[in-house]
Amino acid sequence: MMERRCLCAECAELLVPYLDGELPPDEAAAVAAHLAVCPACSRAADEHRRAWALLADLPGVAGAESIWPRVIARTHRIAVRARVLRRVAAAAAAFAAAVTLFYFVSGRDNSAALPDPDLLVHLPVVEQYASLSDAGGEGLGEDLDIVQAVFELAQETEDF
Amino acid sequence: MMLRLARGDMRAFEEIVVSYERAVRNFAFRYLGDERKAEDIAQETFLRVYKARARWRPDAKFHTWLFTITSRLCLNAIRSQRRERRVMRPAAGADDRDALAGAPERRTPSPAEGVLAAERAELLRRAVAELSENQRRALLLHRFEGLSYQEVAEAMGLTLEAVRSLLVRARRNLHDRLAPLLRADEPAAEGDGP
Repeated sequence: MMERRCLCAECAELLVPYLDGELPPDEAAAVAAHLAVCPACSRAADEHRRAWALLADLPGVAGAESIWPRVIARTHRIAVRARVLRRVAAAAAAFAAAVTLFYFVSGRDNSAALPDPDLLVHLPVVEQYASLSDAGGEGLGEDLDIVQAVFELAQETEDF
Repeated sequence: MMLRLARGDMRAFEEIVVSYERAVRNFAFRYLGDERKAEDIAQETFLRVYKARARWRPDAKFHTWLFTITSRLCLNAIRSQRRERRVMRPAAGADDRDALAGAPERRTPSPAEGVLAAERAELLRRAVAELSENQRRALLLHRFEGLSYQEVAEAMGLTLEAVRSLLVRARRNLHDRLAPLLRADEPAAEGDGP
């Protein structure tokens, strides 16, 4: 690279990183040596330096007041929103837990709605029990002994 | 300060905002050429810092990270500005450089002695605005925020070589566009010599 031969075109590629102090020491030394003997590159380097220095006059935001009050206000809004969301999420979780518990305790969970193989086998017996229950005016499921007896009866009938 | 903020110290957050707001706003203004947008970008930058406080890792350089956020927000603003322009004026097809270069002058030079300085500032503003988005971003990060080539590469998500190439082209373009100023300064510089 630079240490072997230094064409001006090659120097032009290295000039900006050289001026920015971004070249490794050996390459920087080679560019510096070239600038010392090449008036064209030396002039180009000088113009780059001056153009770079001119940028100091590039306008920025003039005399603006601090944005801190607006930033902190928005931060508070974010915090309030997060708190509300957390409360809503907690309330939703509590509600879901309550519904699950209710179905669990009352035995009305979704699995009860699935066809039970035993129920299918003993469907005629269950229908008879329902008839008995309706005739007796008792609520379904209130007398588990009757249910047990009907199922035992059905079992005996099948065995027979 | 970020570690203190991560622990919930809002005083540390205030210190961060106050310390960096000017640099962030200037960067956004020089990139976008619009003070109002620059303020929006600055606010959004600090809100992102606040939101990311718990994820902050001390091994990352805060300054580089801050300007990574700022420059990405600026880029998004440029893109949405471009989309809006397409919707408003589908036939125009101008890119953001034209818009920035054609933006109304921000300051009105009132005293006579201020005219030259205002013209100079306008020439500089145009010279920077007419650079490509990436050249402008790399130049501002390097020249005004003091980021090294490696840090600019991290902030822009580019390779070191790509950044080097961008900055070489940016400085050449600037040099060409600032030629009138350089020529104007030359006789005075020579006259000052021994």
